Amino acid sequence: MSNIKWVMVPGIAALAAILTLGLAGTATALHSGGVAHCDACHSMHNSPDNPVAPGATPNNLLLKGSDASSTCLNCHKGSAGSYHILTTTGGSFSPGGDFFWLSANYTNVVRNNPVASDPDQFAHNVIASDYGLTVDANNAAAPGGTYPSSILSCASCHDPHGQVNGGTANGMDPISVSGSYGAIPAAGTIAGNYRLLGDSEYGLADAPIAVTKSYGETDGSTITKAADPNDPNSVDEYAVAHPAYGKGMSEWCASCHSDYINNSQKHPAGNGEFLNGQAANYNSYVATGDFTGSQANAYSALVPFELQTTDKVALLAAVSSTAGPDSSDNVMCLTCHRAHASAFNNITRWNTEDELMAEGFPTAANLVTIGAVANADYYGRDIATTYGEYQRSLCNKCHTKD
Amino acid sequence: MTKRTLKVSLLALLMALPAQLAFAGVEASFRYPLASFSGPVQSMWAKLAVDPERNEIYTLRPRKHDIRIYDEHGMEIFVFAEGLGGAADITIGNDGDIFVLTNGYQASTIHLLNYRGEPVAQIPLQNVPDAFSRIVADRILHRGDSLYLVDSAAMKVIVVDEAGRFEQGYDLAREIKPFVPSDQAQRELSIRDWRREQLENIELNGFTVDAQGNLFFTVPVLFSVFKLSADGELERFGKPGGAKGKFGVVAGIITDDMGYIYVSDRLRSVVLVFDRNLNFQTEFGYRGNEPSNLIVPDELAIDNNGNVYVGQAANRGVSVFKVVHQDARIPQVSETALIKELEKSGRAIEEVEVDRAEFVVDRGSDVTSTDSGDSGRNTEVVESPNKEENHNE
Repeated sequence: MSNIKWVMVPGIAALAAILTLGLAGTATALHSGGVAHCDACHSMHNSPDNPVAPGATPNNLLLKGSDASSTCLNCHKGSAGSYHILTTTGGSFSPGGDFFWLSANYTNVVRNNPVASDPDQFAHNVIASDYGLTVDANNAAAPGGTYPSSILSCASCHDPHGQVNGGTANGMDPISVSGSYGAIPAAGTIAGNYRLLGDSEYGLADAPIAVTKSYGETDGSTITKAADPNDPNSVDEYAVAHPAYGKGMSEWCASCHSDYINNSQKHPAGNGEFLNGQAANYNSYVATGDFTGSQANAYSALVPFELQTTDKVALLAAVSSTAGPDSSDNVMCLTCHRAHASAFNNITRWNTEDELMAEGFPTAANLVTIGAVANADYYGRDIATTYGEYQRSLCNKCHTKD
Repeated sequence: MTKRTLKVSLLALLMALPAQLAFAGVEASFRYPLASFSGPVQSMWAKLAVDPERNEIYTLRPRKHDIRIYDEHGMEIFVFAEGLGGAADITIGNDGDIFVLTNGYQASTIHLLNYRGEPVAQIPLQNVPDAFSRIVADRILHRGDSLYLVDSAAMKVIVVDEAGRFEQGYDLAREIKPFVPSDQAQRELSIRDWRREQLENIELNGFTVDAQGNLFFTVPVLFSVFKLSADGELERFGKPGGAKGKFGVVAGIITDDMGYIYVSDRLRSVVLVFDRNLNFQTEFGYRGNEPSNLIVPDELAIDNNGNVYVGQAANRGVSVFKVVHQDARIPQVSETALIKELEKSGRAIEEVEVDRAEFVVDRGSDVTSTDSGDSGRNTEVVESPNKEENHNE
C-alpha cells in the first residue's frame, strides 16, 4: 500500500493538468492499460462534488469513495456481465470471480447438525465499506505470508495507476495499449500489465503474462454469440474465449502467499512445475468414469493451466482454444483457485470438500436462498448434466483417482 | 418540429389553476430516511417502486431478499420475504399488483404477487420475436398497462402486456451506436481489435419511461443520458466531469409529471435534476455523513407528492428528498395534473395537437423552446437507425 501513496504524487499533478484542460471527450475504456482519468477516482480539494461533512475525517487519498475498493466499485459493481465484479446475483462469470460470494450466508443440516457457510472463506476479503465488504474475520494476514488482512483492497493486487516497472518516472516507455487483450504496442511504447496487476515495483514478482479477449470465461466452443445482433447466423470469434495464461501467475500470487510455492510440502505450482504425465491424464479425462477424451477438446475453464510462454501472439491464439495441455505446460495457483471469489471454501474453482460435486454445497436451494442465479457456483454449468450425477472432485482432471 | 398529442384544453386550464402550481427554479431539501418504528431501515442499493394509487413506496433489498412497504410519510407498514430469492427488481401495477422479476442463468421470470406478497402466478413471455428471445431481464417497470423488461447488459428492452404477450421491442445498443465515439472506435477497431469487446460492453445503468412513452436510460461508460422519444428521435445529453451538472458514473433515472429528469451519479454522490429541455437545474446530496448527504446513490423513485426516493450504498438506506419546482413567469404544470383537473371539472377532453415549442414556455435566460437549438444543453439528436423496424411487432 505504501507504493500507492508514492504514486499518488505524480497522479495528483496529472489530475490538476487534466482538470485544467478538461477531459478529452468520452471514452469507453477508462483505464486503457494505463492511468485512468484522475478525476474518475480522486477529488482534488474536497471539491463541491465531494465535500467532507462536518466532523467527518477527510479522505487522505482524495478518493471518491470511502476507501480504495469502494472507489473501484463505484464503477465495477453492477449487473451481471461485462466489467462488473460485484453483483447481487453471483451472475458475473468473470475469470476472477464475483465478490457476491462474500454475502453467501446459508445453513445446511449435515448429520443432524446445522452447518453454516462462512462467506469469508469464499473470497479475498477486500475492504470496501461503502459496499459492506469488511475485513477477513478468519485470517489476520495472508495465508502463507504476512500481508495484513486489515489493508487488503483491490489496490493490493491491481495498480489503479497502471504503471509498469514504476512508470515513466522510472524510465519506462509510455503505455499505448492495454496489457489484457494481446495488443502489440507501437515502437517506443509498451503495453500495460495484464488486468492492471502490479509488478516488480509494486510487489515481489513481475506482473504475470496472460491474455484474454473478454470479461467472461467459457470452456471453448460451447458458447457462441452473434457478432451482429441482427444476424443470428453471424458468429463472434471472440465469444469463445477464456484467459490464456502464459507465465508467472503463481509467482505473482506468492508476493503475499510466499509459503505456497517452491515448497516441497505443498502442492506444486509455478513456472517449471510442468504437468508432465498429468497432461495426458488431463487430456483423456472427460468425467468420472469417462477417459475417452482427446487433447483437441480437453480444455476446461474450471481447470486452467499455464502455457509457459510470454509470446502474446501465441497466447492470443490460445484464448479460443479448446485444446488441453502439453506435458511442458504447468500447474499454477489459478488451476484450482479463483483470484477474486468463488462459491467454495478457500476460493477453489470447484467444491473440493464433498465426495460428489453434484451433492456439494452450495445446493440449488442454497443458491435460491442467497439470491444467486441458478448454477452460479459453476458458472452456469449444471454439474449433473455436464459431468454426471456421480462426478467426483475435479482434482481428478489431472490425477485420475476416481 | 416535433408534435405531441395532449388530451388537454391547455391554455385555458393553465390560467385557471391555483397559484401553488406556479413554479420557478428547482429546490431540493432532505426530509428523512425510510424508517420503521426501530429507526431508519438499512439497505444497500435497494430497488424502489411507487404505488401511484396509494402513494406507497416499495423497497426490494436484494441482499436481504425482502420487500418492505412504506406509507407516504416514509414509515414502514408491511414486510414480506417469502420466496424472494433471486429477486432482482420490483414494480407496482395499476391495481396494486406487485410484479417481481427474478433472473437466473440465461433466463428471467416475472412473478405476480398479491398485496400481501403472496404469489399469484408466474407470467410467461409469449410471442417474443427471435431478436429478443434471449433477453435476460434484470429490470422491470410498469407503465400504463404494460411491463417493460430490461436486459441491462444487452441493452435490450421488451414491452409486454400484463399477461406477458409481446408488444414492442427496443435494441438500445443499436440505437446509441451513432453516439459511440465513431472516429475513435473505427480507428482503434481497425488497428487494434482488442478494443472490440470493450466497445461491445457498453451497457445501461438506469432506465425509466415517462408518461408520454419516452424512454430514458443512462450509459455510464459514455457519461450520458439518452432519451428515446416515442416517435423514434434519440437525444443524448451529459458531459463527463466533476463539476456541478456533469456526469461521473450515471446510474438511476426517473422523470416526474412535469417532465423534470432526475439522474443519480454514483461517483459524484449526487442526484442531478434537468428540466424537460435537458437543461441542468440543480443537484443535491454529495458524499458525506450528514443525513442529507448521499453515499453512492443508485436507484430513484418519485411519488405523487414530489418526494424523491434515493437508494444508496454503505447501508445508509433510502433517503427522501422534497423537490419543489418554481417558475417565476408562466406556470408549468404536469400533463397528468391537467388531465385530472379536466376530468374533475367534467369538461370535455378534446384531442389537440400541441407544438412542443408552444407548450414549453420561456422561463428566463436558460430556456426558450424545445426547438431553440443548442441553448447550452450539450445535446445531440439523431433519428433512430431502427425507427421503422425497432418498434412494434
